[in-house]
Amino acid sequence: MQRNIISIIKIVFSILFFVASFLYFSIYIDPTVIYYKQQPLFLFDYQFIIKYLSFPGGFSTCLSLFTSQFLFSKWAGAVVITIFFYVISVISLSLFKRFFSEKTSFFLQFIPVILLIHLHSNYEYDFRGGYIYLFSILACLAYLKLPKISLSIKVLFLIVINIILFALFGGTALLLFSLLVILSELYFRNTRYFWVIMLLQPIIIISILFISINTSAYINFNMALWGILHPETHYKPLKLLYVFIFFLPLFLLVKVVFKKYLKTSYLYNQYKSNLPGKRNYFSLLLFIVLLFATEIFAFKFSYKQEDKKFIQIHQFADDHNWKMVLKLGKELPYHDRRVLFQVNRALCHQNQLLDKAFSYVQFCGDHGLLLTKHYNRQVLMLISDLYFDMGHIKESLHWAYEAQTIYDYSPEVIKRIIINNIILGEYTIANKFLIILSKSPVHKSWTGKCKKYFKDESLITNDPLIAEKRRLLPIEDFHTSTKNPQNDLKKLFIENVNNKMAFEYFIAYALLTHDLSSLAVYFDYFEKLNYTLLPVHVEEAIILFITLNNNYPLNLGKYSISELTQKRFIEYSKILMKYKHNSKIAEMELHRYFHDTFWFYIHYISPITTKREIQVKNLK
Amino acid sequence: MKKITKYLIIVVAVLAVLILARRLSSPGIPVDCVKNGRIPEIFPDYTDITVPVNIAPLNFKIINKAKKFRVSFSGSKCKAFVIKTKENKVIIPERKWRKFIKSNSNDSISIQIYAKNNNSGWEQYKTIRLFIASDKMDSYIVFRHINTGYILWEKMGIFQHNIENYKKTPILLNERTDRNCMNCHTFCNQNPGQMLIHLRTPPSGTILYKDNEVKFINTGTPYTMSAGVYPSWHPDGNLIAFSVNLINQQFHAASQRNIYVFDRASDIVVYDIDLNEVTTCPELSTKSLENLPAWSPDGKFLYYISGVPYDKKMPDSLVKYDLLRIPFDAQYKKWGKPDTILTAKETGQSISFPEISPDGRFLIFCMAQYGYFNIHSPGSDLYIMDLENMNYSKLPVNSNYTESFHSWSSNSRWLLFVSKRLDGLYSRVFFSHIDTAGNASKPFLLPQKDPDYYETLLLNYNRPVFVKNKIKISANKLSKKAFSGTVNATFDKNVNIDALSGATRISSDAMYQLAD
Repeated sequence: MQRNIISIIKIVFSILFFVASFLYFSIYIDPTVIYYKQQPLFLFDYQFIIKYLSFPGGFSTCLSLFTSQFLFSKWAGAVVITIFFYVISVISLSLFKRFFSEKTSFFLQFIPVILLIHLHSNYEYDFRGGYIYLFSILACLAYLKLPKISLSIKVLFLIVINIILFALFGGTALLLFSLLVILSELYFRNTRYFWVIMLLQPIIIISILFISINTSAYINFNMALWGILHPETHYKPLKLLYVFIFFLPLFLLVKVVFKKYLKTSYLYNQYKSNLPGKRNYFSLLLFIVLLFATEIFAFKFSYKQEDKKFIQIHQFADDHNWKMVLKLGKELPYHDRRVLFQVNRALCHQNQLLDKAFSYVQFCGDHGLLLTKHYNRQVLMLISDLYFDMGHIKESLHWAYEAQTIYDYSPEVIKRIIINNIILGEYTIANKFLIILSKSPVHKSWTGKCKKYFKDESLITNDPLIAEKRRLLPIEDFHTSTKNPQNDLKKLFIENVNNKMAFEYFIAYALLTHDLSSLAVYFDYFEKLNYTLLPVHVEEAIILFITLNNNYPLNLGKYSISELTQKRFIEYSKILMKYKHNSKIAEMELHRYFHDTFWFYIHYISPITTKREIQVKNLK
Repeated sequence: MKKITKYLIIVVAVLAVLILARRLSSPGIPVDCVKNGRIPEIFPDYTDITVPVNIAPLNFKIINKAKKFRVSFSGSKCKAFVIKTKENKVIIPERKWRKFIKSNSNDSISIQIYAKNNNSGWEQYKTIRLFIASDKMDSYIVFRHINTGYILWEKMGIFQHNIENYKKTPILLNERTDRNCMNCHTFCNQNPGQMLIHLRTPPSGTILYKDNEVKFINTGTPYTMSAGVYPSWHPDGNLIAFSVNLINQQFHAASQRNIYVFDRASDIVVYDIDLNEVTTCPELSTKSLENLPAWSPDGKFLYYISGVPYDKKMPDSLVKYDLLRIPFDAQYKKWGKPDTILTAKETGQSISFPEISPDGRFLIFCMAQYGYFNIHSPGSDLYIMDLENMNYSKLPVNSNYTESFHSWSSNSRWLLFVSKRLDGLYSRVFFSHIDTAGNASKPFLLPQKDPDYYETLLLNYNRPVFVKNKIKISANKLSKKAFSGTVNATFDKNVNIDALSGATRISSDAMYQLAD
């Protein structure tokens, strides 16, 4: 009866534990955000799969990609993650049971899951670590389940299993499996061949490492030995991943030490003799509460709302949900140029760039508007996005190809390459990438639509997006510039007067770089682009320009500076004069009333004024 | 029990005889079939091509739809064999293929495709014929695999591919050298034991593998504008001609080209391996843009291209290169006077990448509208020049897409080159047979075991070259050397001009320092 109640409690707790995990991942973490960040693509294609089998550990990447593709859906993703956690706990339980009592094992099985909750709460973390852990334990269980057989068969088994583990799951799996085997041998010591196995396992590892390093071009010593734990130029394993991989051997080590030294000690025997004879539910419930509290703590501790928002701002931008981009833009730190980039993009799409840009702290100046000057792997697709928006398609394609060097099978990158090539009329190239993407069931509907386009070219010409981008395509060739992107913008709107976005970005760039002369030179384009009124920030810039350049009359044509802007400028000047042009003292008051103006930006925010240098790592 | 065994043996024997009889009577060719008069669509296109006797099986995919296929391979000197398949992929057994093409060496073979749909009988397509040349191809090709990035890279590596069995193995991957940029793998006379590979970013230098010894050299000196870039190994094995270049690239906003790679300056130097010394001569270090050196097989001439000095204001379309050669005496390291072989004025196009056949008879080069780095130029085509009479003509191997990066086999009968004709973006390796008169056969794609191999491959074949045998040095040794630090090359004390473009006289002070 008591046993039944305990079993029911355990089952109920397990259900609650995994349901909580499911809810946490579906509601808080949101698998679609993980999917967006990681852009996994698994192709049901022989060549694609075989590629991952060509190097040690590749199979774990392949499995991880396969699993990650389900994260494209919020609910399906949460279910997959929860099932994955459940399998991990069940397999862990099987191993713990070999070393610990049933009750202790029951609780210990949740530890790897709690660690995984934290790991998977990081949007960059994939399933490789989990699979390595899983298959290393399975290999260890298989080893422990071997009947008492001859040494030669046992040795053969060890050699084969080590090679398979290394080939499929890499050095991390080999390391974990070896530690588990050695600790198991130390713990059980139930074979006559104890010392043979103890010596053999390290020899096998050394041999595998030696052979692989000297015969395979894919891995060096560190990669062979440490697998995914080895940091690389652009890959830093999470610290908790080390804990996740090594906690199990550590627990077993404690158990081995305990068995060997403490179990016979006086203190332990004293403690054991003082334990109450009758077991009660109290300790069980206490542990359950503790475990549940740990899970809740793991949720709380692991969930990084800011990280999520930072990915979501790009996700919303991709979905053209500009209102949400602007909302997140207010919540996220303004010193990140990628946030400002998306905010400026959203403002432009909402026709507010030249009216409201300075409502946001333009901390990065022009580096928050155009990213090419300091390009790195984090901004490649953002550059491509912006140039796509303004119909600078060859340049958008160029940056998509650059992104592809790093994220070779990213669906986002592949889709951009397809669309850009369709716009450029390069259907053969577009079709090449379409064939690849169509091998993924997740993207079937998108590729299906594109395939129809190839069958009926009139669908391409009638597609409003493609038609719009084709209208904006530059006709005259020019050399693009990463260092002076404003030159590209200039050429885009001079050649194609309908390219309002390029013009607004050019003017915004001029404002952000204090280049008021460019504003003056290209002022007539406001009329060419049919602006009924001058945008607020342009008014603010012009009034300042006129004040500073009395000898250079600016013909405003049909436009005039609104009374409100004139009045505000007088007030701004008065405050400055009140503090005798001491801008430091005037800052607080100016901020209160004029923080959203061009004047405040050039006085206090602009990196040109503050001589703040943009810091970008890893230009490669 | 004994009886049962006896009966069992009899049954098995009868079955075996029946199967054998069926095999012998009908090799699997459908008896009642209708000729549809159509040429079958297959990928890769193997119709009317010439292949070497040592090529791996030419597996292919039938594009025409059907439920069942039978493909018969026949030749006049060997018994036919048939492949039956329900899939559209035709995978030829390697042993059978090897025996088959060996028997039909120097003769034509036929591929006959039969197709059957559910409700119809067998259809017979028109016969595909191809020629098996007895001229062997070098067993390996070496190339770089790289994505289509122009500024960035992440993964790249130098690979070798066995053309006899499809086996592709990496020689060195940048995963082992801090993900740096590597290229310009070059061999001396297609010898796998004499190889160089440049590493462009740290650990940067030139890996030189010769006589089972690996060196890591910095070929840059204070008197050369850069380290060695485009190399050509002198047939004596001790000298390597390099171009030294100041390379730039620009991207197009509305052109057929995506990118234009150009030099602000370039010269040619020669590196002496034994002396670890770089030298040049005034004729190869002028203000003009000397580039892409290529030794004649006897080592008596260095072919190269030369363009007018860089001018920022000059439109791209006017940057054109001529083809020149300069006599060289390897024994005394004496240079003659340069001789212009073919000018851009004559051709109206820009010449690049001269490569002389090992028998010294032909020179193959690229021509495109402008510039020299033709891999990004859709109009780049291959041309052949007969060095006996200096006549040149366009090779029939070209397509509407880029053709570039060509290389000769050691017997001068096979040409490999890359072409972007499959999809317009990725460079793939093609082969063509060149006969003694310089006639090229229809090119064929580097065969792969799986005909769908190229479908999902997002890597270019960059600068493929023929190599006679497998390169045996391990990646571990090469990468270890790359991290061991470079040996700096010295500049020749006996020449008093530099290779900083313009053949400036080195001042006496500098010469003094050089002597030190």
